[in-house]
Amino acid sequence: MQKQDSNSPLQPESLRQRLNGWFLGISLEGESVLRGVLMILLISLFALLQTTLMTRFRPFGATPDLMLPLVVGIAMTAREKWGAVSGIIAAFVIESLGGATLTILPLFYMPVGYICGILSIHYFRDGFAVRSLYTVVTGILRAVVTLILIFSTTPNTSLPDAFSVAVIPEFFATLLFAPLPHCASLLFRLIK
Amino acid sequence: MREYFKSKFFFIITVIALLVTIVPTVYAHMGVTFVLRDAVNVILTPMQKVFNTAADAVDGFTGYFHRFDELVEENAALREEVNRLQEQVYDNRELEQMYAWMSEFLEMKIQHTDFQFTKATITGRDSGSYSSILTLDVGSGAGIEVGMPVVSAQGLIGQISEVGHNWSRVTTLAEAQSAAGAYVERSNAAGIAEGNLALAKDGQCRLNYLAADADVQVGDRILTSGYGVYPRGLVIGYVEAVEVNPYDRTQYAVVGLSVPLAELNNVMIITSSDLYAE
Repeated sequence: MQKQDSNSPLQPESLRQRLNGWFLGISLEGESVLRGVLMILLISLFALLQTTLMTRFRPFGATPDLMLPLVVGIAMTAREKWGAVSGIIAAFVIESLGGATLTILPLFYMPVGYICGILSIHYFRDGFAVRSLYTVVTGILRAVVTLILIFSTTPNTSLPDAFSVAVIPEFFATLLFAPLPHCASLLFRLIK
Repeated sequence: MREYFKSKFFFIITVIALLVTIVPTVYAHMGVTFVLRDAVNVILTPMQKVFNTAADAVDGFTGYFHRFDELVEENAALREEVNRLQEQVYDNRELEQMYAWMSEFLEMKIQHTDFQFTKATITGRDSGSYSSILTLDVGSGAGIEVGMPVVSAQGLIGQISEVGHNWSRVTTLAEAQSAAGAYVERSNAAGIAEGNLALAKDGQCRLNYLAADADVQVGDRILTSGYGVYPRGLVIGYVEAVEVNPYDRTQYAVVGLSVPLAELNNVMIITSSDLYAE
């Protein structure tokens, strides 16, 4: 935000200036708009895939979580702010489409996107091995979230059942299909 | 690193995440749809339909591969089921045929109380194109003798011409050497029903020796007269044509036999009767 000259009359800030400098650091420049549009499209696409095709195919007997690797992929390609924003939107969209009564995923996806974005800036450069590592780690965290969701909605489920029926199959199904959203997230590199 | 978590952005995005988490949950527990959630569904549900259609197609294709074992098992089970049902259908068909036959048998028993019947099943047919001889599954062991009339519910078939211990042969009325005393039911005009080689292939015989002025018309029913081996009143067939013999001034009629031999499975042998009853 530019300092106002004390002698010049006070000019109000535009919406763009406010968004850019006020809090989010996400401007309404063409590049950001394109990123936003791409993010929405990818989230919609993978949400649709997850709730239609994947519910039929069910690799390992579970529906893979395509949103998680997508958020990780966006975070690694477009950095932490887009990672966090995409995390919230992805969680909201998938829970809206899935009809979940207990909403918890925004509190998981958002930090995942944010932290993965930060780590890709300061610790590990973006690459296949790093993406694989992040996907596995976030997949394990996702398993914990799944366990919480299972026991909060069906408390009489036994732990072995929860692991054998939902947690482990979902983990491996997610790993199997993770390359798909990761590859899609590379589209962000095209926007300069 | 810490500055990331102390930034204004992180604070605001966390607040938003909390709101996006709490508000829809509260709304859901109140039984109300959160407006943003509704908007997402309004936009994406039509696309979900499109994706589901595509998923149907893909599922159908990939299902062949990933459900192969399941399909093999299902196929085997279905084959077994089909075989079982097919057997059941055959059994039912046989029972149905047996029921129909028994009904006809009962009808004939009511009509001819003086007849004693023995049931027989056709086990073979003469393979020649010029004869119509049937083989039955009963013989002298069941009291069958040469000359016994063989009938079905529709009428006369022929007579036993050869007997073994557990088999017998029937020479049908269509055979060239067969003959039976007959009369026209409507006018009582009498004649002899005789097999004819030329007519046999069409399931016909001739009613010969009708008087020149005998009252015979197409459609008349011809019955056995009781003259010969056949008891009186068995249906031979229906007149299909009436002709005049130019040499001896008699008439003859072409009679279509009432029993379709090709469709027969079971027959009845009249083992005893009052020949001139009625």
